[in-house]
Amino acid sequence: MQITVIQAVLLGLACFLVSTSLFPLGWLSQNIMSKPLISCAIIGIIMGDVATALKIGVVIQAAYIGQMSIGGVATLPNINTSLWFALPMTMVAGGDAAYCLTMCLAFAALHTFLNTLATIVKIGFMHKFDDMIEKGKIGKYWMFPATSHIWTFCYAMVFVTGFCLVGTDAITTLVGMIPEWLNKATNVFTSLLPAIGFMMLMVTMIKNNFQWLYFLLGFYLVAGLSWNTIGVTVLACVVAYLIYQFTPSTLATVEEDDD
Amino acid sequence: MSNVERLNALKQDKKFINKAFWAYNWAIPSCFTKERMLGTSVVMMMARVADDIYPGDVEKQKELCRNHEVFFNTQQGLGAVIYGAALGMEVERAHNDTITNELIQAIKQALAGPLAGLGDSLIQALLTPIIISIGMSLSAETGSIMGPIFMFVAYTAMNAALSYGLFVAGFKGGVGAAEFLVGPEVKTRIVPAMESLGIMVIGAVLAGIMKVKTALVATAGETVVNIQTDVLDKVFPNVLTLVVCAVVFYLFKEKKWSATKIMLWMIPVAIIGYFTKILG
Repeated sequence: MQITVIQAVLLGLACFLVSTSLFPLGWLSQNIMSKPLISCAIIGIIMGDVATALKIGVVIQAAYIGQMSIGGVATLPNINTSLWFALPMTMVAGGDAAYCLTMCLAFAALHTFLNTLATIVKIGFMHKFDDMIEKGKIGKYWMFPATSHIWTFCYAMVFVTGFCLVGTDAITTLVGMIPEWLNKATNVFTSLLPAIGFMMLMVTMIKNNFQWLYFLLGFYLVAGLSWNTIGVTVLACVVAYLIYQFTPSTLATVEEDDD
Repeated sequence: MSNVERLNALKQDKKFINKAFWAYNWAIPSCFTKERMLGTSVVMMMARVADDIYPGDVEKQKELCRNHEVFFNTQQGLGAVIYGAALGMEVERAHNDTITNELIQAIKQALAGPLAGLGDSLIQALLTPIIISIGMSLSAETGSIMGPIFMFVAYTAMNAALSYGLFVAGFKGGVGAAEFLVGPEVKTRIVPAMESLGIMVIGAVLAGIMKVKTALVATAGETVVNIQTDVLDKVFPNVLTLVVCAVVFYLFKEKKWSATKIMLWMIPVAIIGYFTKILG
């Protein structure tokens, strides 16, 4: 398996579209399109192997499920761009989620630096467009986002398309050199990974320790009684409705005094 | 048709509402800057509809946009009610002098904080992870495309209903629409119920996709006891996953470790665990 030139260009274009956050429905789909599992699905379609891409994608998504744009919560490095070249290379080389994640994290520092640069440039453009309003060209304000998208386009083309074309052979050789014991140890490592994302989520969700009982109930229904997720979701909705029903309403009620 | 009649007609004009809503929708992802956060997206929405509110009056249009060139930040989904209310008040202001720019800005800023808090805890930290969890459980092991499709459709439908509904409610009903959202009813009744739902589903999904096992075997004479299948699974299936999660949670919550630090520490733990057969 090799990454063809057409695939590399398609990956770059798809990365650009997803990175603008406009594709396909603007704000309505913005937060979900930035999730690793969706990116992995698109990469899988371009590479022609959805199943492998998603098996790796689920592990990465599990590690990143607690990743939110809320201040104060522990966060992981941003992998939204690096995933687009790391996953195709991993698939070609036959590696697993641990290799893909290692490649992504190695690139994260450079990504953060380039992103900061981009935001500074963007603020400069914002003031330019404020001047346009002063000149009465109000319709032109609509062009403001285009300025940052030009940057995103170059970025995606250089890093995603470029890396895919240049780096694949090196990565394949590297993965081939990895000894057997390390391969098995990384399997253990990937089995531990979901704990990070899910526990990050629990830190924000658990407000009092008795709420762990809900967690244990859901866990046991699947692990012990082999329910599927849909069944647990239905039961969880029932529990949520009961809690809602049995919590006294705070809406102002007219007190009737019979005595 | 007089000016007042024209502006009142705008309040009922579906085409005008949709135009403003889509402007809001396209502006949010592309206009986020560190200096004004979402402020620029409000300007962009106003710039889009300026000609409808003040037809042909460039000076008034300029003023309308200039007034919104300020810092503004909230959670964008529940915040749709603020965009709607701000637009509704701007339409009023075009013919009613008692509504000042200061009033509009004050209301915008007053609602932004509480709605950001509620939106982050309800949508970002609860509904979105539930949807992602279910999507992941559909794709885990089989690698089926249904997971990502479910995630996209469920999230987009929920977000569209919420954003559009609140935008229109804010535009037509003004600030009153937001009062229910930031009131105590949502905080004391709806949020705890949603939390229990989220925690339960996430526990279920975790049990499905994370399976930490031990390779330890105890031999006593002739009998070989597999610790995982013969001992642990009989007590509580998948109990090692819970142990690992408890340790990670403790490190996050009590020790304040960063996620990256925990991830780096997992590498030696995995290698040592593999060689000692404690993990496998």
